[in-house]
Parts: sequence; C-alpha cells; structure tokens
Amino acid sequence: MAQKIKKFILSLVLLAPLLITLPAFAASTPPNLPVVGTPPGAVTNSGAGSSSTDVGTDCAGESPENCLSNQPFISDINAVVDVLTALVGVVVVGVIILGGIQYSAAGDNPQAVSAARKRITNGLIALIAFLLTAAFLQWVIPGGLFNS
Amino acid sequence: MPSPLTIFAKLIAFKLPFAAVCGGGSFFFFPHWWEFVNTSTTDASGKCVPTPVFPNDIPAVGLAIVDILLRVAGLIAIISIIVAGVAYITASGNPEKAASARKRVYNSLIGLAVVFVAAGVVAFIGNSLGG
Repeated sequence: MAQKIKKFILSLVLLAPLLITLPAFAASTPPNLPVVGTPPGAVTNSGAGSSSTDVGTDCAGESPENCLSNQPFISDINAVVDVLTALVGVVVVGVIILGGIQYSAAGDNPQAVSAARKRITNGLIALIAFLLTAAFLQWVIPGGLFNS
Repeated sequence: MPSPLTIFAKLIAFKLPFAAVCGGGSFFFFPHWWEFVNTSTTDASGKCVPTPVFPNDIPAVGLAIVDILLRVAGLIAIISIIVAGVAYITASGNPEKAASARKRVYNSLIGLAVVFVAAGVVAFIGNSLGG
C-alpha cells in the first residue's frame, strides 16, 4: 500500500508541469486550422462574392476557437461534456458518502472497514484521474474542453 | 482563458437551481428526487409535477440522490452508535466485548466524519469558486 501511494505521488509530481504550463499552451493555439473539404489552393481564386467558399462554411473571419465551437456537432458534444463534467463531481461525492455509510455500518469487522476504505480511495482516484484527463484534453483541443 | 482552476470550478461548482418551483418538503425525512429540478410545476390540487429537461437536469437529480444519501448516512451512524452503546452496557466486565463495542463506536464516528468532510469540502469550494 505504501509503495502504491509512493508511485502515485511520483506520477503526480511528474505530471504537475503539465498543469502549471497549461495556460501558456492554451495561449499559443495555431492560428490556422485546416478546413475540411477545401484544398489549400482553392483559397486564392479571388473572385468577387466567393468569400463564402474560401474559408469553410460558417467561420469567415472568426478565430479558430469560435469557428470550432460554432459547429453544431461540436456544440452538441460540448453540451454532453458539460453535463458529464457536472456529474463527475456529484458521483464522486456520492461514492465517498457511500463509503462513509459503509464505514459507519462496518461495526467492529476489520474486513468491512477495509472495504469501505477501499471504496473511498477509489472515489478519490477517480476524481484525480478525471482532473488529469480534463487537463490533458484542455491542452490538446485548440478551443478548450469547455466552450466558456 | 481556461485554466485548470476553471476546470476545477466547473467540476464542482455548477449552478445549483435553488429556486425550485416545488422544492422542499420531504417523504419520510428524505428529500424528493426533484428537489433541485427547477422546471417543476404544480397541478390544480397543489401536487408537484416534475418535468426535468433531459440532459441538463441529470446532475440536479444526482445531487438530490446525494442529499438523500447524506440523511441515510446520519441515520445509519446514529443507529450504529446506539447498537454499540447497548453492546457496551451488556458487555458487563467482559473486556473483549467492551473493546468490540468501543471499536464499533469509533468506526461509526469515522464514517460520519468522512461523510461530513466530503459534503462540506465540496460545498465550501463550490461556494468560494463558483459564487
């Protein structure tokens, strides 16, 4: 158990720079996203009225973040992600409270106590895993994980 | 600019719809599952008709379940302490039985503390970050 905790803390320390440097990475998103469906050469036929065809469909003159989050599919995914994100906190608190109930009902049985402790530990591990995953996705996805 | 702090704030401080239409009330000491659903209506006889919006009200219902679990935790801790007290009384000089009863009291108090810390820390951080 002690070795497990040591390994866990070591991995946290190794991943901490990712969390710290996250805003810097978010500030340096690439200025031009590749637009699906239009080859790069098609942009240069400077005909009048062809402005709707040169930069995608929806995002003429918008920043890539706005362009991405205005797509209907992306906004649907954002709604799902928001709901699931709120659910993570609720479920983790629920699991920890269940562990507390188990602890209370354990009586003097050491096996039941260790089962309750394991449930609480697993809830905390789930919370930390979600935080690290969210941080990683925040760094990977150009517009950010949440559209706020 | 999204930062890890805002992710954390989003995680635990989503807006609580406290102004529920027919919130409050309880069924056998337990709150209703529509406690935090703020799209409920009341029909002619004053009975509550919850109409949750599908994706958005799932966390609200989960929060009501957590609220129910809090009361269950309190009940079970109190019952366990009473059982331990009876066991302590009836131990009558037997040191093994007395130690068992004492351990039972300790465990139920630890469980209660875990529940209070989990609920309290989340409420505190949620209030101070999310407003």
